[in-house]
Parts: sequence; C-alpha cells; structure tokens
Amino acid sequence: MSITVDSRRCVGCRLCELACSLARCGRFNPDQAAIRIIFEDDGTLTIAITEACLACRRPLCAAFCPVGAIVSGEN
Amino acid sequence: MPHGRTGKMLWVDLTAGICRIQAHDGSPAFIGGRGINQRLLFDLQPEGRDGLHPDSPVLLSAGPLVGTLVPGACRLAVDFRNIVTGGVGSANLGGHFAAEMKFAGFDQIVIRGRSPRPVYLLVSPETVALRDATTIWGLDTWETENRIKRLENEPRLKTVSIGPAGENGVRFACLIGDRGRAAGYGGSGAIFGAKRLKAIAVRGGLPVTVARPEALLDELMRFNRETIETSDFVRIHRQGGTLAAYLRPGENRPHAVCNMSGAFWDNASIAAVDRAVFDQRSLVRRHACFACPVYCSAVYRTGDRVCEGLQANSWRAFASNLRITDPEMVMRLHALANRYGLDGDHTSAVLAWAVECFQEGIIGRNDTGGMELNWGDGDPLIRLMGQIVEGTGLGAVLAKGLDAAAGEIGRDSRRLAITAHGNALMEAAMRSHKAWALGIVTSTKGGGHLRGAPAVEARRIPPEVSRACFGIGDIQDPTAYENKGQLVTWYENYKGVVDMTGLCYLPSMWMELGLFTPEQIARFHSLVTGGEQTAADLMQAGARLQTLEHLFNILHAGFGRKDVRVPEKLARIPVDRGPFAGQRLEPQGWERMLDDYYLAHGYDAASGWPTVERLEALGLTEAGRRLAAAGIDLPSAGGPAMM
Ligand code: SF4
Ligand code: SF4
Ligand code: SF4
Repeated sequence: MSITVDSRRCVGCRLCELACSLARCGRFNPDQAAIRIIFEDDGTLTIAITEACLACRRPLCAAFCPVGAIVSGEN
Repeated sequence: MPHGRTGKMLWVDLTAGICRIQAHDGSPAFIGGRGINQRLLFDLQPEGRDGLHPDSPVLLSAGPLVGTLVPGACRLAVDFRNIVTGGVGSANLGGHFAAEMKFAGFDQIVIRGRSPRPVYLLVSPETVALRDATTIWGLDTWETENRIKRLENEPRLKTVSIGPAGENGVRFACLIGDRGRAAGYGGSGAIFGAKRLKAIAVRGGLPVTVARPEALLDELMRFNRETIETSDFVRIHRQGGTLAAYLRPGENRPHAVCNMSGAFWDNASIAAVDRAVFDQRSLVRRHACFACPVYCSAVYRTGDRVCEGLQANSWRAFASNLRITDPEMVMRLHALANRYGLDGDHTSAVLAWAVECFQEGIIGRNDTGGMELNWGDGDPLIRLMGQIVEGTGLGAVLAKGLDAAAGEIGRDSRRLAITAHGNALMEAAMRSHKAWALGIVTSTKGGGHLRGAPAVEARRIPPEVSRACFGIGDIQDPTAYENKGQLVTWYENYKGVVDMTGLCYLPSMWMELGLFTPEQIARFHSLVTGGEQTAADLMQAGARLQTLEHLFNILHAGFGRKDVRVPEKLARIPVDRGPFAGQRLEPQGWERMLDDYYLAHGYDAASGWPTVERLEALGLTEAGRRLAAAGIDLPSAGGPAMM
C-alpha cells in the first residue's frame, strides 16, 4: 500500500491528524499522528507524512479528508 | 482521565502573577464551553465593578466535543462582563485555538487581576507561565502572533491576542485568533488591555480521550456520509463560504446599506464586490477551522500579507453598510480591523453612523478635523479607524462605542444610531424578517444575530415541518409576527447547546434543519463523554443557561422587557425596494411577539424576568437568591413583578 498527498488541495482542517491519532492510539492527539499539516507564512499548506506512517490498508486520514487530498493505493 | 474533557482548569491571577492548576469534575447541568463559563462568571463577577476592573474575570472554555473528529467542534467560548452593555459579555471564536488549548491540557482558563506590566500567558504541557510582553506591546495582532512564535521558537503555537485597540481601551476592541477569527462583541479586547494581558499562546501535546471510540467512529462515518456530504448548505459553503450563500444570484435578499438606512443594494454595486471578484484578485486557498469538513473560510492576499476572510459579516460591515464598491478598500478595512483588534460590526456601525451624521449636517468639518465623510469613500474611514485606535480627533469619541458617542455628540444624532441594550447593531433584514429581528434584540449579550435569531426563517419552512421540529405553528411567512416569539425561544435554547458543546453555529439547524439536530448532538455528546444526557436534557441545559444569563443581566444591568425595544429607525423607515418593500417593525406586532417570547420561556411577560417557579424548575434557585440578597424580588407565576 502507499499514501499519496496533494498539498494544493488541502484546506487545513487537520481532520487527518485527528483521524490518524485515533487509528494509531485510540485517542485524539495531533502530536501522535503520522501526518502533519504545516501552515506556511505565505498562507499555503504542506501535508507532511512522517516515518511513523503505516500506510494503512484503510487509512482513516483519507477517509476523513473532505477534499480528497490524501489518496491510498497499491504500490 | 474523564472523556471529552481534560479535567483541568487554569486560574490566573495577573495581579499576583500566579497560575494555579485545578482539577474539576465537569458540570452535567452546564455541559462546558459557554455554559461553564457563564456559571462561574455568575459567581465570580462582583457587583458594582465594571468589566474593566481588575476584580472582574474573563473566562475561556472549549466544550467537550472540541478536540474530537465531530465536524466543526472547534469553538472557544469567551465570557466576561460586557463593557458596552454592562450585562452579559459572551463571544465565540472559531479557528484552531480552542482545540490546541485542550491538547495543552485545559478545558477552561479563568483570568483575574491586572498585571503590573504587559504579559502574555503561555500554556503547554510543559509550561504554564506569564511571560514579559513589554517588547510586543503596541504590535498588531498579526505581528503579535508572529513574534510570540519566534520568541518561543514554536511555529505551531496558536494565539488569541489584542492589538492596539484593546491596549488603548476601545470599548469594542476584541480578541483575534488565527489572524482573522474574532471574539467580537462586548469589549473582550479592552478587558485584556486593562489587565495588561497581550495574548494567550497555547501549544498541545496531550490527548483527548473519548468514552466509546469505535462507536463514535461509526457514527461519524455515517453522519459525514448521510448528512454532511448530502447537505446543500455544505455544498454552497464549500464553494465560497457565507459570502457565496449570502450573495446567491437571484436571491434578492435584504441588505444593510448606508448605516442600515436602506435594505436594497443594486446589482451593479454588488457585482463590483461579489465573491468572485475577491477570489479572482486575491484568493490563496479555501480554509477550514479545526476539524471542520465544511471549510467555509478562505485565505486572501492583502498587500504583501495574507489574511483570513472575507465572510458575509465583514462584507456587510465594510462593503454595503458603508456603500463601498472598491474591493481593494473592502479588504483593507477588513484586514485593518483584524490587525487593530476591532470588532467589525461595531466598527462599521460607528463609521456608518459618522458618515450619515456628516451627510445630514449633524457633524461637520469642525468635528472631523477637516475630513469629508461620504458614502463609498474609504480613505477618510481608514484615517478615522486609526483615530479610534489612537484615541484622537473624532475617533476618540467613536472609540467609546456608538451609544456613548451619540450621547456625546447629541444634536439629534441618536435617531441615526441603531442600538439594542446600548449595543451597536449592524444587521440586514431586520425590518422584514420578524423572528430574526426579535432574536437580534433579545440576545442576552445585548444584540446580534448569533443567538436566537433564526437564519432558517428565510427558508419558508412548511407548517408541518415547523410543528415537527419546534413544536410550534406556522412560521412560513418571514414578515409575519405569529409564532415568532416561540421560534426565537427555541433557537436561544438550541444555541446554548451548540455553544456548550463547542460546535459551530453555521453548520447547524440555525441554517439547515437536518444539520446537528439536538438528537444528533446528544448522540455525539454521549459517545464522547459517556454521559447519558438526552436531547431534551441538553435543550433544558440550554434553557438553564439562557435564564442564568437573564439573571446576570438583571443583577448587573437591570435589563428587562423595557429594554427590548424596536430600534426607532427600523420602525420609522420602511424597506424602500425589492420583495420586502414597505416592511418595517411595527410596535404592536413587536409587543405581541414579546408576549409570546416570554410565555415560551416561562417568564413573567410584564417585566420580562424569569419567575421563581421557572428558576426552581431549571435548578437555578440558588442563583435567584443572589438577586434577592441584592434586593431584587423576582416575580412569581401567580403575582406581578416587584420592579
Ligand atoms: S495511512 Fe494510517 S498511519 Fe499513515 S497517516 Fe494515514 S492514518 Fe496515519
Ligand atoms: S484532512 Fe485533508 S484537507 Fe484536512 S488538513 Fe488533512 S489533508 Fe488537509
Ligand atoms: S463552518 Fe466555517 S466557521 Fe464554522 S467551523 Fe467550519 S470552517 Fe469554521
């Protein structure tokens, strides 16, 4: 499995961070997510996936992303 | 650890420079957010002290749904004694601050005292501290945020801060978060300024747990699929936020034009400052508050900076109400209000009032320092905003707020000032949409559409639906007075539920009847907290909160039915053109609505005060005793009020 992100679509809701933390730890904590939204000074956003990402078979981060900025697929 | 809560609150005494962390057990009767803030404010606020006094507290709270995946659960409740009305001060802020505060470990922060020198409060899992703010005092809200992030070397900090408006005591100064999220109304910014508190900066790291994570996940998936993704409201707001909904082509909606004198704005003017114009000129991207799949907001470029905006409210404030059709000027005014830390509604109201006074010859160049004030001419208004913040020239008078300014200028200027409980109003559709107008004026925070004023009144809801949803009769005709008192009552209680749990009022039954029904909120609340409250329990808690706020208003400001008046201008000047031509607020119809309103709340209709029986039913007898101790006798259901 792999996870692909498109930062240009992102709206900064951070639902992915919440969803990932729930998937990984069973509770809500953006600091424990394997995905992180970086708010840049020029108003743009960057979606960063960390090494901790398990590339879940059914990624909750993607399931909650309202704009389809996270897509999972076969390698 | 309790679920949906951190179980901790933070007490800050600025005079002594002490921060104290306290465990708390939550409050089934007041849920969280605005509920627990108002409950504590009622106890803590000393009589005879205005909101600026060091003894007066300001409270911040994030409700139990904040920090979870429940859509739009991101709101921060800010409560205090209102320095414009003297009664309830209550503001609400979206963005990312409230969730970060919970992840930093706190459900609620209570601030009292006055610091001997400027400070900001830093809250993180490792550190709770008051930091010196001498070097950032004087900076605007955007610079303040940047500077604190640099000082703390932590780009992920979230802040609420004041700009020069709050530092200099402008009565309608507010807190700004995320560069464009305002806790407007009531002067919270000036209160921070008086306390010499420049900002609160929070940074998370701790978890928020929920009682039933798996069941919550299933319910969220279902709700998102069946409700969020099929909602018309969500579809339109994703395209262009409240502005897209507000300026829907062919909608012919009533506007606020030229100090609310007119309700009709011509299509050419609207087209000049339509959303598409802003999007084309300066849209960076669409933007969401924390955990919100609606992403109704946007980030725009303005000059060499970026700013969140522009929503229907700021459009009304800085375009139609001032008749400004230059998009660059509208954006400049909006951005400046955010940077200064000024409430947009009140700012627009004093500027528009000044222009109208100038146009009517009530004030002249002598008063304005030689400036000419004309509709649509933004440059002098930018200068006037600067004067408001600096306390110079005519700005020094306007900085006292609309009601006080009208008192000071005199010369019949008051008839041009639209206020409720002394609070400036800047609203559309009040002449035509009767429940909307009633809810704006009955608002416990003095006025404004974010309490019981039902946005759905414009949707022409069929009678069978209003009966099923609200248990009341026909409300289809927005211009009718019948059943509107009951409708406003229902929404006042419902808004309490939204504010106590930490939800956003936009994607709710306020706008669309299928969104966040009380039953749905109760489901989420119970899955998150493990509590058993039903929808009826939550609505009862909403009624309790509403009533407690009435008690606060009676105790500290003496408000009652006598103060819930039709703004004179809205009774005198009817809608000039458009589908609602001829509509105005008629005193007889208004009084009928008020009778219904007080009856629906279970209050005494003559005084507008809750009865002792009503207090008992809501579990507020103890609060009522404080009024009795102050010599105020509340009415009894059987007898007349003793006023
Ligand atoms: S794929 Fe799984 S682990 Fe990776 S970011 Fe998404 S939810 Fe987290
Ligand atoms: S859920 Fe999607 S839109 Fe929201 S922050 Fe994550 S990537 Fe961006
Ligand atoms: S609907 Fe809009 S204002 Fe409300 S939480 Fe979502 S993005 Fe924020």
